[in-house]
Amino acid sequence: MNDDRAFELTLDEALQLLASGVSREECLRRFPHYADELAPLLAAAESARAGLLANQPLPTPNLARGKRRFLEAARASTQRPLGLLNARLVSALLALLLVIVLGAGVASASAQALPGDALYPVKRAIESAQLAVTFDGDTYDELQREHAERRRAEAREVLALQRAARLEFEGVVESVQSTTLIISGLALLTTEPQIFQVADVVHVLARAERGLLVAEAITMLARPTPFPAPTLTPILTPTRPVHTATPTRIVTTAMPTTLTVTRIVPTATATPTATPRVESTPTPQSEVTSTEARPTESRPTETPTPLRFTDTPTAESTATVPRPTPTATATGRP
Amino acid sequence: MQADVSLLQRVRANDPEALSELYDQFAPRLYTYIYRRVGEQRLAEDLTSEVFVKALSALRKGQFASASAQAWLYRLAHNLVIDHYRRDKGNLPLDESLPAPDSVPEAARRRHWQGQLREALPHLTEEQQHVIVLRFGEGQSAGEVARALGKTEESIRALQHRALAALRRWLGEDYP
Repeated sequence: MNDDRAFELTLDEALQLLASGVSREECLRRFPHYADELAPLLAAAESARAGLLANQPLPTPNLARGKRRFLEAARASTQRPLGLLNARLVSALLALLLVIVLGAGVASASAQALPGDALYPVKRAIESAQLAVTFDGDTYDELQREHAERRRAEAREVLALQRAARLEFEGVVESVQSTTLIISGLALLTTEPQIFQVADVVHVLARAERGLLVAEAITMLARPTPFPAPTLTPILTPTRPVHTATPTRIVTTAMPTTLTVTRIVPTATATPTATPRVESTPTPQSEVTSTEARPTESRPTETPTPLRFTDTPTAESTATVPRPTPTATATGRP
Repeated sequence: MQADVSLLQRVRANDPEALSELYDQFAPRLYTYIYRRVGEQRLAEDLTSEVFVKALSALRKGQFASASAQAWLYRLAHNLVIDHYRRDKGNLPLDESLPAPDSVPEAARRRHWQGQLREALPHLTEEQQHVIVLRFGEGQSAGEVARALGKTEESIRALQHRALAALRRWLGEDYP
């Protein structure tokens, strides 16, 4: 082992002691041979810990909001191949065009439209346009909340009128019963409500028929548990449990009746099954293109063949995570 | 790694389950990483969401080649944080969502070191910055950081040596 590697091992050991609460002075006393070299590096490490709030608990994040944005962006990008930014512009222009062509009166009338009405798409287009031209984060969130409440109000009105229509809304699970979820006051028929818990935030696709609301798909957006300490998902060797929110996969099964039954299937979190020989794996080199010139490492590092993601199926890319056989099992808290 | 490839293929195909799975699996750790860098909860939440939007866009353009999805996402997060620093060169606000400091001097001390690090980090290489944040912000061991970034433990120890040496040069003699 050369001097550099020996020092780096010692430095790592000293840093671990520092992190465990041992003072810098004590760390230097334990490694007198390297004390002069270690001193400034340990001081720099303490600066980094102070600047990164290492001892501060993290505030519990609201990741559901970001997830909604991501899923909406994904949906928007498939419907409008111009790209996400252009999609917003197109949406805004479309709404303006609708108002011009149809007249302000028609656009105004669309505000009262319900799912299934001819003017309902106009109403939704105008709402999308409102979001598209809102760049302030707080106003955007407020608009989203208004739209979400509007979806729930529409659902209540459709049910009261006993109309047949496809509905979409978000809400909070208030009650879990044997065949029903109460979501923000709306009773939703589903085959396996026990998958969900009170206070879960969910997105619902459902059909209203004869005054009943039947689930087609339920996606959990958030489950309000305390934000746990971050743990690392082992990529190479499963040495500690995976910490993630449990993804909930919802499967819809079409039945030969007018009602659609929903099966809810928890998705197993993928875990690595192989343990490559880490010591023989060289260091990968960053390959993401960047328009910015950033400082680079002065000492070259070994580079393995990076994982390439292409359209052409390869032996690597066709390997899939085995999917669980759909069964009706409730998931516990992560 | 095979699991990563499979998941990202499904994400690229706009599989709704895969989109949800990707976010659920990586958002918490990316949020933690970004929060350590920017120190603001709302901003960290927004940037976390933006990482996934950019990831999806990059996947659709075929711009993915990395040892692991996590390392790749960390890289995207890093770039977003850098872009944010460039746009916002103003004062570093103290995050009101943090527990109130016991004293005003403690708050001032916290703000001082956040500012010092924010000034110094961009002068390190991207990989050095990753190591600093994961190793000293999140308290991960060299082994854990190696797995997160798709490198060997030996490489990480070398990287942290160089990162700390570079940090020392930029911080000068100003230490806690």
